[in-house]
Parts: sequence; C-alpha cells; structure tokens
Amino acid sequence: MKKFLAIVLAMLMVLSVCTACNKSGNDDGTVTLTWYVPGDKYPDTALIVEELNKITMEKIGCKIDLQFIDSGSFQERMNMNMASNSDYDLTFVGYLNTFEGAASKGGLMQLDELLKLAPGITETIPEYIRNSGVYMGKTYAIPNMQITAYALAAQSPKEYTDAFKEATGQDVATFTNSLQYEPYLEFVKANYPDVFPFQTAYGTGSFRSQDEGMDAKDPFFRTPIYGGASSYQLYKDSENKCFKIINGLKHEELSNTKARAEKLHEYYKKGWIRQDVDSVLDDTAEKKQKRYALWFGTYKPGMDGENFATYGWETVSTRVSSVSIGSASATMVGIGANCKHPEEAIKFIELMNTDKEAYNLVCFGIEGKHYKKVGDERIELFENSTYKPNASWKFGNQFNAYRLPGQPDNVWEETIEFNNLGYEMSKVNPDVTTLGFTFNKEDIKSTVTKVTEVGNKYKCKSTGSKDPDTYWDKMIAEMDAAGNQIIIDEYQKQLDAFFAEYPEKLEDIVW
Amino acid sequence: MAKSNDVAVKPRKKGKGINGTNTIQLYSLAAIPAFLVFVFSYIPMFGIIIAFKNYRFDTGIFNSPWVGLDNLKVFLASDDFARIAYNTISMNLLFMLVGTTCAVLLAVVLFEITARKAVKTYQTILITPNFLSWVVVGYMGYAILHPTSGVANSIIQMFGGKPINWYAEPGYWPWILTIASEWKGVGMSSVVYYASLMGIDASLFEAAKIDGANRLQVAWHITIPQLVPVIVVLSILRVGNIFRGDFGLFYQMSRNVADLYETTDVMDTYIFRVMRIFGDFSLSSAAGLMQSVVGFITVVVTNFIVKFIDPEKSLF
Repeated sequence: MKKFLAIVLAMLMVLSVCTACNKSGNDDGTVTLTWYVPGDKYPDTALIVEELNKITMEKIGCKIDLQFIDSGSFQERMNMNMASNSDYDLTFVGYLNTFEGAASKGGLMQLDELLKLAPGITETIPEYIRNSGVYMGKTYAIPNMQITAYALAAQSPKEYTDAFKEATGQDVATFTNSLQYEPYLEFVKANYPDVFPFQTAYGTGSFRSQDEGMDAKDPFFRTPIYGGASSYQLYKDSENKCFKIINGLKHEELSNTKARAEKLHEYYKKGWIRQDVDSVLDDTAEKKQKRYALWFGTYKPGMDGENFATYGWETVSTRVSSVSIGSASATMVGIGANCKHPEEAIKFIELMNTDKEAYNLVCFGIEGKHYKKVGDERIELFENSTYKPNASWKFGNQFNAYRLPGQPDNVWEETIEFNNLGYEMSKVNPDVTTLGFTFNKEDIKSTVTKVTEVGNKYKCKSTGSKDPDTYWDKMIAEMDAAGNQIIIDEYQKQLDAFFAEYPEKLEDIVW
Repeated sequence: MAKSNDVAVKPRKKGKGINGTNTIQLYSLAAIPAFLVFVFSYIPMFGIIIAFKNYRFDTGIFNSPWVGLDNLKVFLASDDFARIAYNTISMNLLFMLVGTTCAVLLAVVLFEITARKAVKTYQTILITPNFLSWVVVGYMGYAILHPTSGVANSIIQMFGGKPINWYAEPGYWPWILTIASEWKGVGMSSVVYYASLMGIDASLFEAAKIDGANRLQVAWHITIPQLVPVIVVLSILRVGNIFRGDFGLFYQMSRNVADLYETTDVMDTYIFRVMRIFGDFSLSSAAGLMQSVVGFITVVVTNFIVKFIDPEKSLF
C-alpha cells in the first residue's frame, strides 16, 4: 500500500510541476494586461504586440498581451474564464461572449467609477451609444464606436441590376422602398433561371419593420424589441405620453407583421423565393456565386465597397427604410470581474478609442510589412499578409481607422452623420435599449423558453413557405397558451419601473 | 469492449489473483485508472449542485442562490416535453433493436467468410462511414432527399411516381434516421460481435459439423447463443443513454427543419435550442443531470430484469 501511495504522490508532484511551468510571471513588476479578442491567430501577432507595448508603456505604463481566440470557441472560452474566476483583464463582449449573459451573471466589472479616470471615453462616445453597455442601470462594457443608426438596405449584384436597367430603363439605385423591386424580381425570374430572385433563407433578409414600402402609410412607428420568435413591439402612446408593449402578431391595425408574412408568401408562390427554403442551413456559398438577386441587410455608408471585398463582385445597395437608432451592443469591450489592474485596463480602452496610431496598429499591422499607405488616411492591405484581422470594429473607435479600397474618403464622416440622424429620429421614435433599459428575463425563463419554442416551429413566418392564413391564428393561440401574455406583462412592468426611476428619460421624447 | 469479455469470467476467490499472486500488484496496476476516474468522474460530480442554483460568476458555486427545481422546470414545463421524451426514447429503442439485429447478422455473416483478405476488405468498407462526420453525412442525405434535385425523387419520377417533399413529411423520418444511423454505425458495432465470435471454442463447430448441422443451424444453435451475453451487456450499457439523442444525427440529418420536429426533435436538439436563448450554466447542468438520472434508472432497472431472467447474464 505504501508503494501505491508513493506512486500517487509522485504523479501529483509531476502534475503540479507541469502546471507551475505553464505560468510565466513578470519579473520586472510591469503590469501586463491580457486582452481576449475573437479571431484567427496571425503569425505576426507577437510583432504587433511588441510595437503596441512601446506605445502603451509610454502612454499608460503597462504592457498588453493580445490573445486571439478563434471565433468558434470564443464564447465557450470566455464562459470558462468567467466561471473559473480567472483574473484576465480585457475581453471582447458582444455578438460573441454576449453582454447580457456576461453582465447578468457577474462576469464583468462595473465601470461607472473607473470611467472617471478615462475622460477620453466619455468624450468620444456619446451617452446613448454607451447605454448599449449598461445593464440594470450600471455600465459593464464600453461599445466600440462605429455605425449605430439602423436602416434597411436592399442589395443586388450589379450584373443583374445593369441588365434590368438596360431592359426596362429603371435604375434600382433610385428606389426608395422594397416593393419597387417587384418588377426587378420578375425580370430576374424570367431571365436567370439559375438565380433565386429573393433571399429569405433561415429568416435572414426578409422584410423587416421600418421598411418604407410596408410601413410608410402607417401612423405608428414600432421597434421590434425582443427576439424574432414573437413580435413584441414598442408602441408610443402619444395621448397618454407612455409606452406600451404590444404583441405585433395580434394587432393588425398597429403592426404589419402579418402583412409582411403575406407578402413573403406571395413571393414564394411566384417562385421568387427558393422552394427548398425551409431546409437550407447555410447559403453563403450560393450567395458568393451570385445566386441571389436581392437580399436585405443593415445599411452602412460605403457598403458596396465592403461587399466587393467580401464577394469579389460589385453590388448596388439602396437604403429602403427610414433611419432609426440602433444598438452598439454587438461589439464592445469589458473588463473582467477579477481584473487586478482595472485602472490600467480602462486607460487602455481609452487609448484604443482616442489614439489613432495604437488603434490602427492593432487593426492593420505595421506599415510596409502588412499594408502600404496610398494616401493620408488610406491604405491597401498586402495579399497573403501575416497579420490581417480585417475587423477594425473589434478593437476600438472605428472612426479612427484608415480607409480601405472601396471605402470613400469621407466614410466615417458619413457614418457619424448617419448616426446623428438616427439619434435625432430616436427622439420621435425611441428605442428603449438606447435609453438604458434592459429587459431582465431571469424570473420568467421557462415562459420565454416555451414561447420561443412555439416561434421556432413557425419559422415559415420569415421564409414565406406557407400561407399565413393557414397557421396565423393557430400560432397566436399556441403562443398565448405558452404564456405570451406573461412576458408582455413582465416587460411592461419592468419598463414602467424604469421610467418611474428615470423620469427624465421621457423628457427628450417628442410625443 | 474489454468489459464485455470479463463478464463471462467466473468470479475468483477473494484475495487471490490469477495463479494466486498477491492482489496488491493488480490493485497498483488499477491505481492510475482508478485515480483518473476519481479525478475526472467523481470530483466533478460535486458540480451537480449548479443544477439547483442560479449560478453567477461573481458569487461562485457556493454562494450562488439556491433555486430548487426551477432549472429543471424550464425543461419539464414545456408542452413539447412529452413529445420530445417520446421521440428520444422511441428512436433510441428503434436504433437499439435495428442496430443490434443488423450488427449481429453482419458479424455472423462475416464469421462465415473464411478468406482472411475478403473479411478485412469487407470490414474496412463497412467501418469507413463511421469516420465521416454527421455534417458530411447530413449533406449526403440532403443530396439524396433534396425536394427538387435529389436522387431519391429522381428515381421515384423515373418510375412514374410522384416526388415526395421529404423535408415536409415527418412520417418518413424515423426510418430515414434509422437507415442513416445504421449506415454509419453498423460496421463499428459489428466488430465487437465479430471479435467475441472469434473467442468461441472451435470444437463446438466441429462437433456440430460432425453431427451434420448445416450453416444455418450452426448459426442459430451455436453462434447466436454464444453472442447473447455480449448482446445483453452492450444493450444494458446502451440503455443508459436512452435519454440522450445523438445531436449530430438528429440535427444535421433533419437540417433543423421545423416541419419535422414532430418526429425528429429529441432531448439534445431541444436542449440546444433552449441553450441558444439563455446560454446558462445552471440550465445545462440541469439538463445533463436529468438525462443522467434517467439513464441511471433505466440501467439499474434493465439490469434487474436481466438478473431476474438469467442472473448469469446480468452486468452487475
């Protein structure tokens, strides 16, 4: 038995030595901040970090350890980091490592006090954008400045729109709503048998609210405020100066949700939507092969240039909706709850939002090695570069980024203007999340699950494959049975409580 | 696999190993695996308490508030739960029945082939699909079943039949999934049976031959009865996973088409969808715990039934 114990002990010792040698400490006492960002690892990351450290040592007196984790496992890795109370310093929060999940479970440090140390952040990022990083009245993440206003864009390969223009004399670039595209879809259907005129696969790209064509005549503005499963909408009651949560599926007089589904089914019957749409899991390859003639997405100034970089062929994009305020919650940066050096960390966030040199270094690499400068603020990336994250929105204030081919010189000015437009619109058509409201679903988890499950069964609502008349009432009945009203009531309750606590938020609104 | 062979071995005298050597040697040999099982399977079990808590990162496992069975209720309260449980269990039973039958038959047939090269060739061909991922198999299925350009519908139309929209007809799917699951897995599971057939005393076959038994009689009276203990043990082990659906199979083959949920939605695909809403540690531990508890109960019950019928063949 003694022998056995000895073996076990020996093993334990070997194991502990192994774990010990993994940890490398800083001998000289300089603070090194670990920064997790989703993305592929590039061979030259170490070089970039070395250059970056020269800047950070000089400006904020610490070093940065930039760690890329591939997007596929980022969520899980950060979950593990937070669950194990790891003392990492900075992390990307947003579409991966979701904000609500991280903030509601205590994975992020509260930043309200720290922000006072970094005036650069509060100066460059307006409050309504910073509100994306607010949970239950407290700041937990700093949004990366970028486009935040929202509008719908109709996008088409230029090849098809040019042919359409030649045949009919109509220029899609002059269109202002999605219904004007119908003759174009018909044209594509007749002339390009291999192309699906309209993309609605797995619910992306279908009609959305705020579409001018569907909503323009409508006196009320509505924002879909929670998940695609059920269409809860925010209704501005101008008479009583308050907000009501309504079920958009039911109120046909207030909402075009059903009208949109009917329109989609009409397109489906005409053959403008692919007939196998319900069994499509991934159609990115088909999209790259120009097999869709029209799809909807989020509008951005200079998006045709970006599309060209992605697809390798030209597109024509048109804004087909009014502008509204959007959220910046998809790309933010947060400080870990157990971070040992929060002051340095917040200063680093400030640096990435205010320092062009440091920011562009992380975004694009080193001049002459990873890109060449072709203008004052314009660069061209080298082919097969050894550092190419190609995602400046992940790191900080995008309005400091160099322009890439396809982006007009004034792309950021235009974006800022577009943001401001969205903000102005938000006084008339507010979105409660940008006022700082967060819907807390913790207490009604099982109801949310049940209602979402019903929504999952009726994906045809956003693909167009079935006639809404055959399932609409059944879907509403099933959602009600699953407890839809409980969610609406809870939402309303929390919203009322929010405005009771912050009555000043109602003051700016144009009723 | 090693386990299934051990079962047939009769219990030895206490305190003495093979040839009477001191058991300390055997124990010390088992120490490392036992240690690993303890570290990786027993210590983490303590994490089960997360299933009964509202786990928060900042408060940790101990200080997070208790919520009782609330996390389980998220699953159990669903109106679809009965359907999902039924799908999971019935599909697993179907897989077990068809799977075991096919694997045993295949093993017996392979055993009849004496040319060594031929056996190896067949085995390799049969096992290859096992190494394909479900994503790939899912796309192969899609190529066959695609509503407009699929192979299956082309054949149906060639013979003048009406094409079937496979992805809108849940009725076909238990069979489609069974075929897919067997196509991928049967080669691998027949290997176990084939291996235990190799262990059968050759004199039994010689005796049968002398008595004038034909091949079918040999298979029926000698080969299959010899396999029964292995079948029983493997089935008991498989029953432990009766409340788990192979996620890859059910998700990739049915392509998450909502119209097919009626027959293709199982525990794991359902949990996956719930997780996509919340991504919550407590919920996932609750789901895992629920599946394990059901699995544990079914294993014990099945073993008890087997023991009742034939104590020699039970697992424990």
